[in-house]
Amino acid sequence: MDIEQIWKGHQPETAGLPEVQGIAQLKPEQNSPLKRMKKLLIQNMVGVGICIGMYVCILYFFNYWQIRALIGITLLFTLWGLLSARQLYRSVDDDVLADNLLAELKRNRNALNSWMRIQMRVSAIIYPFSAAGGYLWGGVFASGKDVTTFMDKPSAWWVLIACVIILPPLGYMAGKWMFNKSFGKVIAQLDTNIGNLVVGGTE
Amino acid sequence: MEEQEFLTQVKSCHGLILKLINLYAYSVTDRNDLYQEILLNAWNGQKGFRQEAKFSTWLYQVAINTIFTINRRTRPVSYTDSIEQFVIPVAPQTEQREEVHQLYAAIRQLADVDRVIITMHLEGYANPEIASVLGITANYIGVKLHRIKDQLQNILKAS
Repeated sequence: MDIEQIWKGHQPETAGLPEVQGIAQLKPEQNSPLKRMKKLLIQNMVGVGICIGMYVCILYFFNYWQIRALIGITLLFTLWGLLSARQLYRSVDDDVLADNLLAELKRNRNALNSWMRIQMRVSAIIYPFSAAGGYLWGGVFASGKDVTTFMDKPSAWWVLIACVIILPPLGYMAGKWMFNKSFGKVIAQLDTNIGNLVVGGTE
Repeated sequence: MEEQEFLTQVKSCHGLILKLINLYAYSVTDRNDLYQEILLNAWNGQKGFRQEAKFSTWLYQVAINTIFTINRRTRPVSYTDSIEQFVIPVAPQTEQREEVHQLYAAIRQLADVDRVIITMHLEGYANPEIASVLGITANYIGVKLHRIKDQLQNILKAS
């Protein structure tokens, strides 16, 4: 059997194909991991944007240097997180027009992995500040006292120390779990797609 | 490029694209979904089309990229029966139809990446072109093609 002759000598059946009169009628399934990645990044940015709004409100309405310093540090990290997510979002070409698909898929997978890793590392440093800031703000807000009065009792200091010790690892683990739950699936799918391209050691 | 001009250009490349899609889609619904996804990606990304390149070549690249990027449905256990509905030879003689049917069935048994390599080769793409699309060295494509053809002949003989 001459496979080249057979291949060139036939035309595929086009009956049953949707008659496309205009682009607007196309209904994509949106099941590409890159499209999913962009969608998740938008969700992430919306969530981060809401947090930034809350921090700004706290900074504006609670005029205590301790709260402003701690929440300010957290706000800076959150702003950086928003910018880095936006940068990653803009680098994703979900129309996959790259000349070298394998390199493009790897670039996206590595960029996402690296973004997640950096976010987690930096957050580990920031969590103690945000835990302390959150505790002070919560205490002031609930008690109606100022920071100095609220922290007057030794027990308030012990609770603050406990918050700074206990909450950061919990926040870190929760963040890791959330990342894996959302972006982890995208990375797994990208790995599968990369695997399909390099099966049999074609790299 | 205007929408109607784009669709006309796409229509002129139907055969080329459908041959590729038919090797990766396992039902008419899958085929139509994949076709629409490719069209949409091509439309959204037409700014990446350089006028000096052939439209068909560019669209072929978009089709390959789309096939290898979306979450395709997994291969069913038995799929060869569905090939008949996708393929008809130019002159629909029974013997020729059977050969086309066998060839499609054989190519579908290859690994995902091997299918695209042999398809591009059969469409007349040179090894460096295939290599640049897939991000593999041209030398490796030469070696790989040799193996794929052997594998294909073995499958065809067995069938």
